[in-house]
Amino acid sequence: MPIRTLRAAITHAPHRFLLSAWPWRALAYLLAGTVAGTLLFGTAHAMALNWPDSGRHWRVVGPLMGMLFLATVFGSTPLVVRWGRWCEGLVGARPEPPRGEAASAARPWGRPLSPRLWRDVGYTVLSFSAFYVLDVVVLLLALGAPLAGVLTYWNAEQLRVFEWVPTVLAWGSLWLVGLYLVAAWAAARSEIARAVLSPREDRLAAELSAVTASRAALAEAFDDERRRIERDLHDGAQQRLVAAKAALGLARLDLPPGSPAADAVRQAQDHVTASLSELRDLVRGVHPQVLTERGLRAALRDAAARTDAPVDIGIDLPGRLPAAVESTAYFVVCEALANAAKHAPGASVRVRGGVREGVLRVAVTDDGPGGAKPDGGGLDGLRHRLAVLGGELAVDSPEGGPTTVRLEIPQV
Amino acid sequence: MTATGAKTGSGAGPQEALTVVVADDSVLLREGVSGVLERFGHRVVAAVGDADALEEAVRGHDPDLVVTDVRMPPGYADEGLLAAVRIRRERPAVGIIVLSQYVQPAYAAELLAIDAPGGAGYLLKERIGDVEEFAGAVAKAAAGGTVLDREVVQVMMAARSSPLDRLAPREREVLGLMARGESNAAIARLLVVSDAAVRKHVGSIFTKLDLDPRMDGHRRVLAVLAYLDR
Repeated sequence: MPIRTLRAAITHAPHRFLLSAWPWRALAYLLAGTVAGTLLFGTAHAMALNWPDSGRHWRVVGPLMGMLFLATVFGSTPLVVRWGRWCEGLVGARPEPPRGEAASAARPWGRPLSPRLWRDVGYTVLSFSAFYVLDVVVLLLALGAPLAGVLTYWNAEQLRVFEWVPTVLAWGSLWLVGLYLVAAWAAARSEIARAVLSPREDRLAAELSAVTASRAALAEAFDDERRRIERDLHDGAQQRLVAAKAALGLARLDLPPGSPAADAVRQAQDHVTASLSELRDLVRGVHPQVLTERGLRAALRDAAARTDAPVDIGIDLPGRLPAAVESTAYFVVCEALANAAKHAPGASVRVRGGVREGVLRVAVTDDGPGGAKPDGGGLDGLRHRLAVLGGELAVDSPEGGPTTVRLEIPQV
Repeated sequence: MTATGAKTGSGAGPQEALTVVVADDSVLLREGVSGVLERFGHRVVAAVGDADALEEAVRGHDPDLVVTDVRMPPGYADEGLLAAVRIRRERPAVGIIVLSQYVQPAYAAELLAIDAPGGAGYLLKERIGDVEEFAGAVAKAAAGGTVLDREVVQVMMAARSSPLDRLAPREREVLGLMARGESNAAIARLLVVSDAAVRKHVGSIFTKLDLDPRMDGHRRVLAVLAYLDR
């Protein structure tokens, strides 16, 4: 399994940790994390030193400096947060910046205060206080202490060589321990930063929208595939069979009627005719041509015309609808018509539908005996297709009838 | 043979050689259709692959008959049918046969809705393999008659069972043949009954369905289709 985060690198493969890039990433993470704090405190320190007569007017200048300090912290929030996100990329996946309404944190001025803004301000305060202090402490402990030790004994003349070498090596090896310390703090710091920067519900929402988008893409690919199959059959097998039938028909003209050859050719022609008829039925189930050419209304009238039951159809549409909406609605209504013909033979069926306020609604009602299970058979699969479009299916079938199947697809 | 509004001067009968423009995006089917037509002595003056070329060929050759596919470039939707409708408007005397892998009542109605003396046919593409039947349809369309595929009619009759319950079984049969474009004489021959019997059935159908009995030719077909499509 590839290791994608610092935390995984320490917990899953501590033995290989030092040979990987992770210690250096952790180090870079902490150093990058101190940049903002160093800039702020460095500037404040320089200003305090250079302030004219700072000692005398401290009572006036002090609160002023404090306010300036707070304003800087608050105003730098967008920058600090962006920088923080970038830093997170060093030790794991970069947290996605929030989208849409929640994105107000990127520009705190002129916007109402949102919980996200408070979180971002919190992160900024944290990175100037606890994070900064701990970053510095850890870096000093982990890197500075061994360095100090090595430097101390480097030129120690009182030590003999066999004492000097292990002493310096021992202090130097503390750097390795220090790298573990750096990594441990970096991992912990990153956990906290992520929790503040991109809380769990945001991550779940981002994942959900990614899953929704990929599901829609899958459904679209599925629809495209159906159209492709229909086109391939139309341009390929069907044409060849028609040409074969014509060739056989012409051949038969030359054969004496009633001869064995003429009979054989006629049989061959009958088989071709039957194949063509089966192909037409197949294509109608895959993706009917009329749906491609003329849209939902014409396709539903065609489907109604091919149903055994008498169907009274009234569909009122403003024009063509998106392809996925048309095909989904078409197959749902076809399934409902087939169910009506199967479970309520002889019942008459009414199909009513239209678009109002951007929502396509179609209802299929039969005056059969009712009592249909709401989640039976083919309708279940169609529920999933509807869900992809944010649509819904409702089946209402009291004992004694009538049975109504309703579908709704929003944002048409 | 139905001969309402027959083309003046052509006097087309089954033996008459016709000039024909064929349109289909598939070379295979252009050749198939042309082969059958030529076998019956007709002359294919142009065989084209899309709707624009079809209209151009019709302007250039002034044929007796057009045989066209529905789905053609550039959009691979209903270009052929729309071209057929335009040709029928611009040159009402030209006979038109529209072929398709699938038949739909709506297309037939669109083709017949234009009041033109030229004949019109709407058939499943595979009917070109029933060569004699196809030759008959060609002659009929060239003579100003109407030919509708039996599948169109079957579908419509099957769907509209309840209002047709008023008809006797024999009358339903006659109505189906009327919808396909058959004349009274042809229906009499097909059902092996007398002309008078057919006229009686037709009169009774028109009365029961409240249609105008004076209509003839493709107007009669259209009326029947319109009724079935209600």
